[in-house]
Amino acid sequence: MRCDEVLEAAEAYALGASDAAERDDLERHLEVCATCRDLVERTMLATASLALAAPLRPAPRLLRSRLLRQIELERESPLHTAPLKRLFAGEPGRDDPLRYQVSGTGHTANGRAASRRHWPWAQSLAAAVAVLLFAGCALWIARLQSQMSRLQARSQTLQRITTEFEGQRSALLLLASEGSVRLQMQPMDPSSGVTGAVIWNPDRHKCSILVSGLPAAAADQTYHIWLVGNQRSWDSGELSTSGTGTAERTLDLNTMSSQAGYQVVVSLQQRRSNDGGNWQPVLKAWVGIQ
Amino acid sequence: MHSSAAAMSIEPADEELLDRVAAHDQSAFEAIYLRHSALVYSIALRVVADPGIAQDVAQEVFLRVWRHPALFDVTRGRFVSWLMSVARNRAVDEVRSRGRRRLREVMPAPGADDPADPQAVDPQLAAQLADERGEVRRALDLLPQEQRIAIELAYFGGMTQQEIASVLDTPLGTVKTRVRLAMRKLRISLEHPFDRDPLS
Repeated sequence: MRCDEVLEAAEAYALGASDAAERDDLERHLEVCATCRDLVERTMLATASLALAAPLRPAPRLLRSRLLRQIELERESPLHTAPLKRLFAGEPGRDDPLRYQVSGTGHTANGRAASRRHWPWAQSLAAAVAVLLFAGCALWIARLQSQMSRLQARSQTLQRITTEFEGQRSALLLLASEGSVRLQMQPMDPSSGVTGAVIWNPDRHKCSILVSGLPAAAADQTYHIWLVGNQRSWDSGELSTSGTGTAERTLDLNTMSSQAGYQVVVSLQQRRSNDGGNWQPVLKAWVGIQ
Repeated sequence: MHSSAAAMSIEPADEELLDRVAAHDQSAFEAIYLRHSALVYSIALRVVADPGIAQDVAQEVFLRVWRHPALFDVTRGRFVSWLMSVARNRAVDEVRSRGRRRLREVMPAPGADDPADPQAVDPQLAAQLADERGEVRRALDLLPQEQRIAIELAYFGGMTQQEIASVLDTPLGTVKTRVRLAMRKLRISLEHPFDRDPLS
């Protein structure tokens, strides 16, 4: 990785959001470049302040008693020291949060007991019990992993549903607002089965676009919303569709408040096109004073 | 960013307490705990979304401080910054090792009803951090929604950019752009938030 590439990757790295390959590449570079290392460390320190966005909650009283009890046990006998978990599951390395993706190996306290009891039969019994426990744990872990995979899939579905629900909720709230009007969108191809409506509230400068029946876009295409008026057009961003061909977006129209009227257009266009390129209008509706 | 007016504190600084912790001074460790436990616990809870697991994470963090106070390098910045990084990183590690993404428990989780520790509050630090917390939240609120979501999924969700792209059904390049732009705006908004000594 070059230094100019580090500049691009530092932010994601500081968040811990780099993929494994980029992370490894960057860390190899940091080992030999002090300038970039300083940049990344400053970025990570700035990132640390994001933690303050977490709502402040007092720690439970139980936590303090547990902690102090553990410390007392460790002071009395180092045997009671439980190894700290690795800072990050993954590669071994220094136990340092500024070496973000480099985890520490489990540490044990210094001075682990030097004395040991010599009870061979106890050790054999302990070994047998350990083997049985290990076998049982292995089976239990396999079951847990299967359950976790199912839960993970369900979580992803819930995440998608939650996102869709939030979009629909915004549109419903706008519909219920005083002064809102509903405008039917006209499909460019009446036989396509695509329908849509615009919920427009001129006082709040917001509109919600609700569409159904959209066919799935090709891999290199995407649906977009455009506002067209007075010989200019404004890209209002991508319109993401659900697996059932429905989509909704609520737009802030403050920038359009000076316009007497404009077209709200749902278009199909190339994914990487910044100016719409050869965008094909799919639905349109006139918003504003006729 | 300006700190709240406060009388000059006679409380020892974190660095001084850490020196005493290195000498196994338990009272110094308790002082650090009382000063920072709410912050550490809150960060852990925000990431793992489970009070019981958040307690485990917070315990791990403070045990790390007790056993290895020398891990904190005073030349790298404030102890509280380091502590927040350790807490967040440990919590993300916990989420990843359990193979789940902040599943919200429908039923009350173990530890949800544990009574709060009334002594674990440092009013002066709380006031200082309240100002900074407000600035962080304002900075996040100023981000476009899609950028803010990407940052929150990365920072508190522990997701990689690839995972964020998958969850949001958005191209990876778009997510990378959102993260890059958001972080640059946040860095400008939050430049040097911890240059000030919270106890001064």
